[in-house]
Amino acid sequence: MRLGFLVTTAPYTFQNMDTAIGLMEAALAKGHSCDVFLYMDGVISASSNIKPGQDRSIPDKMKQLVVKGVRISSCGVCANYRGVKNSDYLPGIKLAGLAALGRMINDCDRVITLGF
Amino acid sequence: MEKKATIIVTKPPYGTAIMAEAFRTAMGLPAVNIETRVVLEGDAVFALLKSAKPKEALNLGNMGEAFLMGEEYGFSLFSHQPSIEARDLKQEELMECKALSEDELQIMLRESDSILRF
Repeated sequence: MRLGFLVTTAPYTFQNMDTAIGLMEAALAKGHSCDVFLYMDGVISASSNIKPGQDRSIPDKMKQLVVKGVRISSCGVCANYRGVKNSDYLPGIKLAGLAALGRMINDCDRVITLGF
Repeated sequence: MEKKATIIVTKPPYGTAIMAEAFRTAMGLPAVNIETRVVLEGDAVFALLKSAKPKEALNLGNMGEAFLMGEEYGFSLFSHQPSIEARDLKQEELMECKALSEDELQIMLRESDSILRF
């Protein structure tokens, strides 16, 4: 099964990105595949500029997910509004248009929204 | 094969960008061959108030009028009748929009391949 995750909230303020990461790790362990579309404040989650100190590192976990084959796209317009550039992103994560969200819906068997 | 997506908007129309982002999503999905329905539920039904004048307060477009142009963008718009009643809104106060009962909403969700919540 292919699972899609739409995450619309900021990391560290909301638990949604952590929940998505946990669900994806569990799904991958069972042989499923996953896609992510970061939307609205969710676009911040994949920035390599995040320095959480001793706290859990959401970008590190996302980097590991990319290595395991998770496709992660991020809304370009939302990123522009928040000052996030393509060069800020971790390798393998790219800015994209809403067509990428459409592709995720078309390609996935289930889509889970984690937002407000 | 065309997939069906239902976008459920539950947040009020003004004060955050959430409904505007739901609208942007609703405009985008039909362009990639996804049959798209939008349901205004909970406080989102306030978007249909005829008396709203967001341009005076926020210099924003009217969200209800924007969503009602859905057919031009290729999506269908619905409201949620129990949400309208729970807020004591009268039909004559609202812009015209097909209202779904709880049962109709449940059927729509069951028939959807994807449900996006804003």
